[in-house]
Amino acid sequence: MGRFFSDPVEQALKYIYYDLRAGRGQEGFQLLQQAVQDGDADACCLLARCLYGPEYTWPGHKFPQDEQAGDALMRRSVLEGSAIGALLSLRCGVMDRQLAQSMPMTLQEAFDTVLDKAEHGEPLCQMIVGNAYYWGDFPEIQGKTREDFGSDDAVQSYLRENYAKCEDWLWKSMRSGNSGGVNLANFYREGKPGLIPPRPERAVEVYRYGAEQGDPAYLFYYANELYDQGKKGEAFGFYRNAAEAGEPRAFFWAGYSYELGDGVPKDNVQAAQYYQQALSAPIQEKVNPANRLGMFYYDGHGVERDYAKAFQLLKWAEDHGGPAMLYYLGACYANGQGTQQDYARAFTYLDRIDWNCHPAFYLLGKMYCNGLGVPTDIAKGVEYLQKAGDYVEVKEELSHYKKTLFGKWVRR
Amino acid sequence: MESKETSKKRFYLKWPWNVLVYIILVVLLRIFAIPVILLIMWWNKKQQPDGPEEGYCLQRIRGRLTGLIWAALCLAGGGLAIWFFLAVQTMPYEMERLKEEISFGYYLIPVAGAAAILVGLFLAYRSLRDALAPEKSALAQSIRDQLPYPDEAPPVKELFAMVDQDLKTNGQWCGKLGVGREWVLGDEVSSISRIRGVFSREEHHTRRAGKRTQAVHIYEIWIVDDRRKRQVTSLRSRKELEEAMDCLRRRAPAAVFGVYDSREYKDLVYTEEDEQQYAQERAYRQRQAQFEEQERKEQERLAQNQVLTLPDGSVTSRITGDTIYQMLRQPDETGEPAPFQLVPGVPFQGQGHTFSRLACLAGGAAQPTRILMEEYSGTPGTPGQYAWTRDVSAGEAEEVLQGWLRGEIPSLENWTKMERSGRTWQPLDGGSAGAAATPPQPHPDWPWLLTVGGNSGSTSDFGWSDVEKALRALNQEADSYLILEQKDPQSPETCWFLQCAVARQGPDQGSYSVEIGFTTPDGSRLWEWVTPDVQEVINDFSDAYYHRGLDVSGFREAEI
Repeated sequence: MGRFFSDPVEQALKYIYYDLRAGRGQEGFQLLQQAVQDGDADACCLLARCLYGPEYTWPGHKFPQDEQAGDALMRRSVLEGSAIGALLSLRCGVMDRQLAQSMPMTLQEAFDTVLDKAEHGEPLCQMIVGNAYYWGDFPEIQGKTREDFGSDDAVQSYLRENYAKCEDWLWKSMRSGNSGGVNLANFYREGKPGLIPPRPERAVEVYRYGAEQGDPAYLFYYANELYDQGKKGEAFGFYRNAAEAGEPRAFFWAGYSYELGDGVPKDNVQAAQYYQQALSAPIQEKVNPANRLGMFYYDGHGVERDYAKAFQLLKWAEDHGGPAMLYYLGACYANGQGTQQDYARAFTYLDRIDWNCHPAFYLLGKMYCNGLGVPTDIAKGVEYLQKAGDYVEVKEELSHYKKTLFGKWVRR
Repeated sequence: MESKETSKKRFYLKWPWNVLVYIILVVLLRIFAIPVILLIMWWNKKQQPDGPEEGYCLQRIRGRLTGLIWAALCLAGGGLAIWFFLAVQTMPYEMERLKEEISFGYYLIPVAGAAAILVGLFLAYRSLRDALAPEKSALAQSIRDQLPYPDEAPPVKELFAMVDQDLKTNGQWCGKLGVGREWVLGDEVSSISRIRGVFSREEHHTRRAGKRTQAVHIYEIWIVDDRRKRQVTSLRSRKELEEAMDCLRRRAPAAVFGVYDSREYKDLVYTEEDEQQYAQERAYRQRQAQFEEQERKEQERLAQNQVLTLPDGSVTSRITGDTIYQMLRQPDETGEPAPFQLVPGVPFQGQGHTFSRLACLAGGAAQPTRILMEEYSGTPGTPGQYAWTRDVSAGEAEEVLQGWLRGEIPSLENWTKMERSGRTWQPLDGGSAGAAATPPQPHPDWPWLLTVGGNSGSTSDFGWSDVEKALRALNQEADSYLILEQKDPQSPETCWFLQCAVARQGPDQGSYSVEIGFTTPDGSRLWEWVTPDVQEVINDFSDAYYHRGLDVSGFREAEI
């Protein structure tokens, strides 16, 4: 038996929350599964959190997601008397009246148990206590209602005093090595409207502290801060560190820094690998890596040229709300690369290009001159070709047309 | 639409009638004939849009007849000079005065006259020789010079045809300089593979004669071949010269490009030492190898003209013979048929049809492989109406697929023509005649029940995500199936259902078998549809679940 929980649970907590860099989350998950089978109530709620999705643990663990199974485990944890299970089920919305009546302890008793462990230095319990204050669960835990207060000012005072307690507990949790203290930064950034003013500068301190501890998630958050402040070079360094430590949300940015060669020697192969990792990671934001990797496949940068893969990625990104890579998609349709040739669709992309894109002008020129996907307009086509730069194929295409004495462009 | 305009032969003035007409015009209209002749020449050219019928080379040497004008001028000038000299001889006073005034020049008059006549005769001879005896023309000789063994050159007709064909197929024209893939036709002919240097010459000379200033512009392109011989072509403008240089840069990229009389020009033309010549040739070969490598990469890029879609939905356009071989043999390793498809970026023609897709259900060595080639609908993104299908052995399949990758279609003799029917195909000349009964749509008000094989009983407490998840989890195990069912609340024996399972054996092994069933107290009916694509199944279930109108066109009634 561990100091606060059973041995497997303490070991699992280490792998899942306290030592992300070790990359042993899956081992932790298996330990929890085993502990659940052995009837460990604390393991039930912790496994439930794993199953709720990456935002409850860390995306780098790549745990499977199954909310229904998570809810069932959370209920079981409460019914079997886990104090952290009771507080966590309250937080994740599983705690309903029926469950509250069936649980073998009151919420206050559960809170006191967790508080005791927190005071003795258990990082997860410190976070749970901090979150109970941060999210405003404390009135329900303490059984307080409006009627218990004589005035609105008393209510305000009560809320202010208790909300503020989260700061101390969440700091303790972070300093004890728990990575899941993102609410502390949120607390500083947003404050509590009408009660506690925001202090965004302190949020950065939280991120910096976490980053200095080498926590992959905080390396990523801190990099975001630096990027927002315009310190891109510095930010890219942190993104790369985070990515190297396995933080999936940083993969795209690490790849992008390698693609740009910003703060690191340019390396398209490395960039492509990070983009690929970002695409297979359990994260939401995938349109940017899809677009970048699509362009890599089209140009043969960092990967072997493959038009089919390029088109699939670029179209996927566009269909999923990403910015359309107008030239690349237009070129795929115009040249029949990776998809069936369709000049009309190519035109819908190429015509939207409003910057100086020579290859796109060449394609537009060719399409107008030959009536491909648009009505033939040699004058307009030649105008595009003349803007398309000093390239061999452009000159070859232009050589097919001439201007008559009357100023009209005709085919030679 | 191959227009009548291009297929029908247009009238134009053929050789030598055109020359005859020009001569008559000159005789009749004198100097005023010039604009008329130019007009006729322009019209004649317009009437032959695909190039001169007699060929570029023959046209070029016949054009040398214009040399007769210069010859006539020389002869007239020379004749006048001699006539003047003889006339003066008859007038002693005038003769003495002229001797005094121009002294030595007086004796040059008959010499110059005779020289002019000789030049005129030479020009006339050359023009007539080139125009009337092509085999002796300078142009024919220049082609022979470019051949590896000039002495064994074919007859002039073949020589000209060789150059004409290249120019007709690949020619780009910059003024009178025509650049093909193998030959350059200017005042002389150059073989592109022998070109080692191309130099532009642009010079402007002004001459003052009294108050008049006469400007002479020279625009020439100098082509130097691997034997240091030069072929010079005069052009009319700087634009033509620049275009010609650009064009030659594309066609002979490894050659040295520069300006006439520059250091590069002199190095190339006047190098005498073997060692230096060898170094130049070596440098040329290196550049040529680089360009060939670039060209190879470009061809490799262009070769990615098809999309291979694998059973798991992944795609690639890096398709090789090995890829095809492995795909066809995959069932031997996995024991399951492997469906895949090849879609060319640009539909291609063969056997009188245009094809846009090839779908293949590989059976490995044990089972036949089914190939279906879909005809192009004519509109990108729109499925074709017809297809040809055939069951073949793995070896034959490989042959068909390799041919498909090269854009070749096999003979369709033993293939079955199919017609699209919704999302499936049926034989064009077979199948059931008349309108088959179509399955009914789900009832808009009856509640849904979901039964998933392996789970106990049915449930009404589910959402679309549960259905989708269960469909994706279907496999070939016996208890793996899914039924989405409706029962009439008033009469529970009346029900409608949509069910799906993965075929465990038979020709459709591995594919999804989807069935619509409708049971009434009077009896039951069943409609069936098979697809290898789980996404299509999901779309059907989604359409049914959300009452969006299930596409039942692909379903065929099955016997119960």
